[in-house]
Amino acid sequence: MNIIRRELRAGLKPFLFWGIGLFVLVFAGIAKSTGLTAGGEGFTAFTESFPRVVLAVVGMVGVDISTFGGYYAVLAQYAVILTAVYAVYLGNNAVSRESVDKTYEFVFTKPRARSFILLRKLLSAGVYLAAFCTLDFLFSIAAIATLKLNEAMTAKIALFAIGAWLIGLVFFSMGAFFATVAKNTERGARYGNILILICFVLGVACDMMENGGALKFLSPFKYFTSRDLLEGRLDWPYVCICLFVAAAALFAAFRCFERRDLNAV
Amino acid sequence: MNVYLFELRRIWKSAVSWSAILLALLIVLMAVVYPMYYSARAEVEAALAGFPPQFAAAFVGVSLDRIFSYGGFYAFGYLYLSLLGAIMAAVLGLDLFAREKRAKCTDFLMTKPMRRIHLFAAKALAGLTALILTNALFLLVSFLLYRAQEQGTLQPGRAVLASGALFFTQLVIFAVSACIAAYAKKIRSTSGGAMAIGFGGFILTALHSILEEDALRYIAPYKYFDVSLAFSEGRFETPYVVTAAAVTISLLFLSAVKYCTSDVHAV
Repeated sequence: MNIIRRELRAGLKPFLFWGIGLFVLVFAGIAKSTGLTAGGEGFTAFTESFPRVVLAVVGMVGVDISTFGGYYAVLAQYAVILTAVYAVYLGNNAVSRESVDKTYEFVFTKPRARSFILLRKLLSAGVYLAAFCTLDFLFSIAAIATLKLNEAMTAKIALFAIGAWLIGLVFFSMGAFFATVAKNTERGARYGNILILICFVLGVACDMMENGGALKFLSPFKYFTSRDLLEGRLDWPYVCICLFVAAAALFAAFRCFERRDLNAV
Repeated sequence: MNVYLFELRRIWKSAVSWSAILLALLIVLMAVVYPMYYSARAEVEAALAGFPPQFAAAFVGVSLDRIFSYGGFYAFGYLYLSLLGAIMAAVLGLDLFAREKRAKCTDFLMTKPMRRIHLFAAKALAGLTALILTNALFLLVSFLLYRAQEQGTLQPGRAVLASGALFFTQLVIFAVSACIAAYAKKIRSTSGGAMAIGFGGFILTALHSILEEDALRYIAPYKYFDVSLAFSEGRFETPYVVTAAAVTISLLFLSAVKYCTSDVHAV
């Protein structure tokens, strides 16, 4: 319990910082949406008659900006990117913060197994990840309420937040995994961040292709399409993929961490 | 000179790999995706013909010629090029100016018989060298691609100006990250910090284009240099260029002041 308490305290400041970023994104985004209902009926059918590559360039793949939901989906994509970057940081930080700060010899010489300590560190990082997605949900609800948009979206926004959490979980666990396998801490962080960039680029490529089927598996950012979320469902196969990848990466992280040569670089 | 050479040796690997990434993205976008995109024009024209004109206005905004021009597509690609370019600049800035802080050896460097402002200048020059070399290559490749792909009349001056946008954007982000490196108490990971800076700028820029609020453009770093305007009119907008220059110079100045006056702790 001591470890968890300490970790939570250490993670509070970065969390507030990221929370402010999220707040700006969500409130500024929703505030402006009041004046936005161009297009109207039939606009979706209209955009669907174009080749995907053209839609991707104009920024309209699977997006229907004529409704508030479609508009929110655009914002939510950016919130997911924010979540992914934060998640990699959390996973990586949980594993290698003590090494970076050169304090690993204080904590890992305590009479506790390494995995015991790592589990608590990852748990408290996981708390922050979940809290971040909850904030995403709360900010969205609050913005809609204060601006009196009269949109009954609570359930759908919750789904968006759950989607963001699942995607964040993948990046969180991969961040932790890379941190345990890399030889030095900077390299571990770099692998995690390169993963985000690759997934991001693949996501953009996936948008451009008429048939992005195979690519979609490789880009978590595209797992939960806004169309599905707005219709009120999560794509179950992708939920399973997220949970499976996260579980496998965390399992591997624990295995590697037990054998890792702890040092200060 | 020693510091400059040392820093160059330390950053050349990441500078080379980032240049390769930027060039690869540029080539894929302009030599592979653009022809695909251009050939879709007929299909779009056919589709547009079957819908009421206000749809066309909402969808296209400006003319089809503009949307399907090389410049129009480059402006789309630039969103991602500038994101990667900014991350590169941030990696360099954080790496250079927080290296001793991260390795906890600031006292080692600062006790050398060299003024701190010289150390700062050597580090900044090393970063600039990397950025200039990267962009010289980028400009060349970008220009060759333009020559090969442009369907209308060639306007070399405008293409070069538009490709230069990446360099100016990188300078802004380099200054931002130098300032963060100078003021932050601790930088745990260069790449993590660089990702936060790069995607932070990306989201601010996206926010500006979603909200279409002019005031926001002053904080949207990747929109300071508008490449589609560079292609269509051969210029950047003065207020934003001035903002970019002011931000860069003042942040570099602030970080130099901090670097030269901060206390150095032994550990």
